Amino acid sequence: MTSSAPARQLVVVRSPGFPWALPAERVRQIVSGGSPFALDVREAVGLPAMERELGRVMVAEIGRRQLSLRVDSPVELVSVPGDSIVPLPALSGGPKLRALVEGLALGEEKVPYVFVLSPRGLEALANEKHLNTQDSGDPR
Amino acid sequence: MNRAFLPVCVKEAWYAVDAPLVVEVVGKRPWIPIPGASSRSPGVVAWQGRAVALVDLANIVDDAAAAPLPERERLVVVRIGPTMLALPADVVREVHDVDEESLKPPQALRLRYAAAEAELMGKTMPVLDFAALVRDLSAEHGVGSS
Repeated sequence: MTSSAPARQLVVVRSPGFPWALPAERVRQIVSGGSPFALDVREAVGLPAMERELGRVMVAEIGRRQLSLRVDSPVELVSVPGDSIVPLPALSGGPKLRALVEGLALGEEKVPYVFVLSPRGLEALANEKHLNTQDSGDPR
Repeated sequence: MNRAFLPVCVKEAWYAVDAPLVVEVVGKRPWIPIPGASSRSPGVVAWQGRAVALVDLANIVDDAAAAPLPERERLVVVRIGPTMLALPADVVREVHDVDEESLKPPQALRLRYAAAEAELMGKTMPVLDFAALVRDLSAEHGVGSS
């Protein structure tokens, strides 16, 4: 079966038990070095934080703001058919998670599912935790 | 006037589900746990190309029952307005018609979301108020219904 929806690029963080992703167009850069102000996505969705610290931070663009997200696992850029991104019902994902992708192939490994984060939810979480966001100066 | 109910059994407790709400009854399906979700709605199941919120009736009607959700033999998909819910069940029986006059206010079974009691298959079953359930779940998640 072929997909009619245009492909989407996702930046996937293979965090154990909670692989998560952001649309690639939201990711500005991934930089070395930790930041005390970076949002830990696992903690934000109610999971224990990873003990392993890779010391990298993903800088994401959320509207006109930039938000730093702690990266605790290997990161991959993948292209998926647009119609394989299944929206999560609001009653399940709430404002934090927007969608999931099932059966994603990452290298030779097939990951059962990856959660796609909601940029609005991320911003709300950052506000909850009083994390500073920076104005990117980009009016998008 | 008659009302049609689908008897659904979860953890040895029977519930009467309004038959017109039922979209489909399917077999056992794997489900995807959502991190940080409540035991009332712990995850989603794939159904007809979409993700449907899984609702555990055992945890919905009785907070004390809160426990990890095992995979059950049947999955009852219901539609309440724009909201779809997937209800795992151990047993689902055929639809029964009940005279609406015979429905009683919840007395014997004082469960949350019991709008009435119906006599089906020689058992007293709570008639579940799914509209109230969706309202509460929506409020719990701080969103409108999906």
